[in-house]
Amino acid sequence: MHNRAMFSPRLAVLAGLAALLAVGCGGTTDDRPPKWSFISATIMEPSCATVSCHSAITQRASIDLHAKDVGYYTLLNGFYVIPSDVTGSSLVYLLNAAGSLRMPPDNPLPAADILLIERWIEAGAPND
Amino acid sequence: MRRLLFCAVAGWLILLSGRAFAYPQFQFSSGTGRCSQCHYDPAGGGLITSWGRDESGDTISLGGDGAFLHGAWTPPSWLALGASVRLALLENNSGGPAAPEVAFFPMQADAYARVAFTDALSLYVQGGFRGDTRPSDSSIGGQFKTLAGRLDTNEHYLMWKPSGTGPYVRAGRFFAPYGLRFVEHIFFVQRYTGYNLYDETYNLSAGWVEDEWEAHVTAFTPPPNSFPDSLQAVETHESGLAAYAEKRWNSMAMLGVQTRLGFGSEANRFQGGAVGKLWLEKGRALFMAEADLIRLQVPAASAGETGMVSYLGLTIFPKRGWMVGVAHEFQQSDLSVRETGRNAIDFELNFFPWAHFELLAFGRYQVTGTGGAGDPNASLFMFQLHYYL
Repeated sequence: MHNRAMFSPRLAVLAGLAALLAVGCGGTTDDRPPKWSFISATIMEPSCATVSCHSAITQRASIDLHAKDVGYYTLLNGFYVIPSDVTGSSLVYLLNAAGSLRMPPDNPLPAADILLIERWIEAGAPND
Repeated sequence: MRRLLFCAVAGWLILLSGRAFAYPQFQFSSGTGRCSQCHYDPAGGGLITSWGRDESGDTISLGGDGAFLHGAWTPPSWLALGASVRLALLENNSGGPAAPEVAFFPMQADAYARVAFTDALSLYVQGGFRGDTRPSDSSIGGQFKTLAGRLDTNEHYLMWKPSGTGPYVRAGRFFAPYGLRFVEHIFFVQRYTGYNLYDETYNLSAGWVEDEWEAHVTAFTPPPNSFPDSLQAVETHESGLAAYAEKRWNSMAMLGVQTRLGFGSEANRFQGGAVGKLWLEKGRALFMAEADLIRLQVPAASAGETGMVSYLGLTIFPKRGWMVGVAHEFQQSDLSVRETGRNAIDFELNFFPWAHFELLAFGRYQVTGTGGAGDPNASLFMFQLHYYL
């Protein structure tokens, strides 16, 4: 009985917390900078440069995204990114699973992150 | 001479077989409050002690002898050995038009050795082969061909720890104590806090462990680029400081606070949070929770983002040998942009039919972003066979 008394309010608090988190926080305006240094550090490296994929030690499909500069040259020299040409950049197709396996296959990117990458490509895809 | 011989054997075992995560579900539920009761690592994980081996046979599984080699041979007191193998079958659906990805692969093949030079001083070495989820040649022969390139040792350290409780100091490669460390590395609280697979750093760590509390402080740095691949951390690029402190009450509850400050060439990461557990003996139920705020600063972009990760889970032990868990995970990389979030629901069923054996079924459903147009929902189903020596 003692445990039951402790259990219910705690469960309610936990359920409420879970519901709050499930909704998410923040607004719908994306003020993040469409700069490669930001995209590499906050999106590409944590999502793509994992041990079995595009890390320095694995370089799946000869793609290394573990750091800003090497990732930049890998994407541009491999024509995964065509500056100022979103529709011609195969990176966008891979991220959206358009006719291919989605990348990253284990943890899809939110549409907002893909849009940020598209904005960077539209801006000429500088190594900024 | 005998020690040299055993060191050579341990080295060979290491060549044969890179992860050392723990089962945080066993804190309190196994009747043990501190992780270091069952693990040589003062913060838990990796090679288990003789106490932990006894528990594995007496309380966790349905029976058997949890000792090394099932008790067929007992190493001398200054030596502890172990090995762990996991085979995985998984189906991964990333939400695209392509058929779900199905893979069968050896997820883990590790060996462990701990050599005690004195009552206080010991050397711990773990090594093995990195699992390869998506090998270019998925045949068994093809997977064996790449073994040499996947050799890894992500834990090796020298430790001064004069007794089971009290102070300790260790130096070497391991994960700085921080947060919940599950067997499955995909949980957001591991993946997005610098504790993803093969992310162990080189550290100098000190701490104090008592029955009712413990505290750990760690200075960490990633392996230098000049180190061979077998010693490289995969994603961690920062050097810094991590601290974790935990208080326990009545063998049924704990609250931990933590922080990790990392400084890298591309980004600086400042994070902190809390961990909690509550064990309800009557229902044999364990609640576990972790939440962290993460500030990532990118100087080159003159920008940064503040994100959050959390885990809230319930694990029930309905009968000896069985463990059932359900959890909700949340991750949002930028709290000012709602669409950068992820929610996941996990289901886990573990069966320990005999000491040394585990069967695991794991399922996850993940909603990316707000779940709207262009936001894919993903799922993962995995079955594992785990054997440890």
